[in-house]
Amino acid sequence: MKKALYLAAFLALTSALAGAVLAGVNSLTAPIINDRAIAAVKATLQEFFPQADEFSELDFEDETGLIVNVYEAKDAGYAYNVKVQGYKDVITFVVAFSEDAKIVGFKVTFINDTPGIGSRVGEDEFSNVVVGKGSTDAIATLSGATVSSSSVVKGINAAKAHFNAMKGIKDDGTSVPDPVEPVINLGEPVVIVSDATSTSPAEILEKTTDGNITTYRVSAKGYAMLEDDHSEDPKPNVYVIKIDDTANTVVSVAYETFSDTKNIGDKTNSDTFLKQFEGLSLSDAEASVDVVTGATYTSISAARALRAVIESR
Amino acid sequence: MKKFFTGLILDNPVFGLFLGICSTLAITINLNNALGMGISVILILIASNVIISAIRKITPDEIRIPVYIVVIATLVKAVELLIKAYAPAIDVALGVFIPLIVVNCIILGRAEAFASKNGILASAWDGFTMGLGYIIGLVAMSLIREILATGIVEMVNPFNDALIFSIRLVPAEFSISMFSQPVGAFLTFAVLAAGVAAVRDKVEAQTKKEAK
Repeated sequence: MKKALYLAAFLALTSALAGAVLAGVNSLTAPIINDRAIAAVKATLQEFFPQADEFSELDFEDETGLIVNVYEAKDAGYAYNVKVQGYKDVITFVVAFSEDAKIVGFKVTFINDTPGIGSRVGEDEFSNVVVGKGSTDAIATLSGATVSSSSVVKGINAAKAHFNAMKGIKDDGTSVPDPVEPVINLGEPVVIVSDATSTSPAEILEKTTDGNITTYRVSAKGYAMLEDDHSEDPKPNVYVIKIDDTANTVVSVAYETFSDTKNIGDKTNSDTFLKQFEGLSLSDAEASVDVVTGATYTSISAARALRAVIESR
Repeated sequence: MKKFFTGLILDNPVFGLFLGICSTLAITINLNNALGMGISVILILIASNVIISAIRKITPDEIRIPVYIVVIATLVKAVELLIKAYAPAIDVALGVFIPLIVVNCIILGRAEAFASKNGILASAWDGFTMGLGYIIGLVAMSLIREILATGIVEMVNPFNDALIFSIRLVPAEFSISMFSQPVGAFLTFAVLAAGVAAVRDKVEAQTKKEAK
């Protein structure tokens, strides 16, 4: 009995000494290891929390498995490094919350989704939507980039849930996202009478003259008909084109029927794109309009429609 | 002195005694890993031998193995934390094999076979020679594997990741990448172990002849 107690006491003492030694080494190395762990993201954290000077990595639990790291900027807020599955590759981003539960930073650190479509979640268009929201506000997805932006929003929601749980904020889930206005960017110019518009000529359906204004209804094949967009019954786009006969210029180009991909091709049905046609001279061989980025096919179908009008005169 | 060197080769812990082979096979992909592992092990081995020798008179015989394990595990954890803090490149390269030094049988083997029966200085010397033998084993394996697999011998300062030297010995088109794989480790190990065994047989035959 005495022997057994002695053995137990000896082993306990050895272990206690070992524990003390390790505690000493740990207190010496822990700050350095912590610094190394956050060195990679420190620049991003500093950008989000310019006033903070002390950053540390937190241990966390996350049921969604999307959160990779949680960082605390002392007295300033928290940042989450999140990894989600995008459209064709993973998307990683950092989202930062201030102490008063506002999103103060959002930055995509890796994205490999379709340029001009999924890649939009990495651009200001999306981060402007995210930054400034509260930790219980819902965030809208980008129409036309639904897969990429939904998965990013899912990741932000995971970070929001963790932040709210940590801060004791109750999210009643009733917040409705503000819709995001699509941003229309114009890209390369397309000359109305050029090789680009020479294939699949448009068809004039109807021509009416009223004074010196002639109105044409023109059917032009867009993305739905030229490239298989998997719709069951692809139809051409129908444009209404008004021409000033005396000045020989375009008065207006408008859609009668839009038949291409929703949320992508319909970006051409906007003043940004259609206003470009106004005042174009029919006799100017170099007349051109800029296509809408991400909606090149549909943009060119509008140019084809005008070309058919020019060639019929 | 001659005895010291023949001991290092013929009673080499890796090729002569077949101790600590698991980590040897796994990490000898390049010279840097081998040196990082080897230096970690020699430090732990010397320290554990010294501590175990120092407490050999008060350690109850019944629980000596648990006590050795506690001592070794503490040292390994301490070295692991220091490596993580000051040489993260080694930590990334060696990964789980650093904590696994706890179960490297060279260390427990020397604690049980030598340090528990000998004085502190002798134990420290034993730890040093055994550790040196282990380093020689690792370096020999890693040099052969690195040169065959990549054609380059490279060394990087683990504390700041600065390249110390990088020499190409074999043109890239003659490299055999198989040697960076486990199968290359087994092949290299078998050939080296067979070589050591052959030399030992010869030496033993010689001494027998002289004895007659």
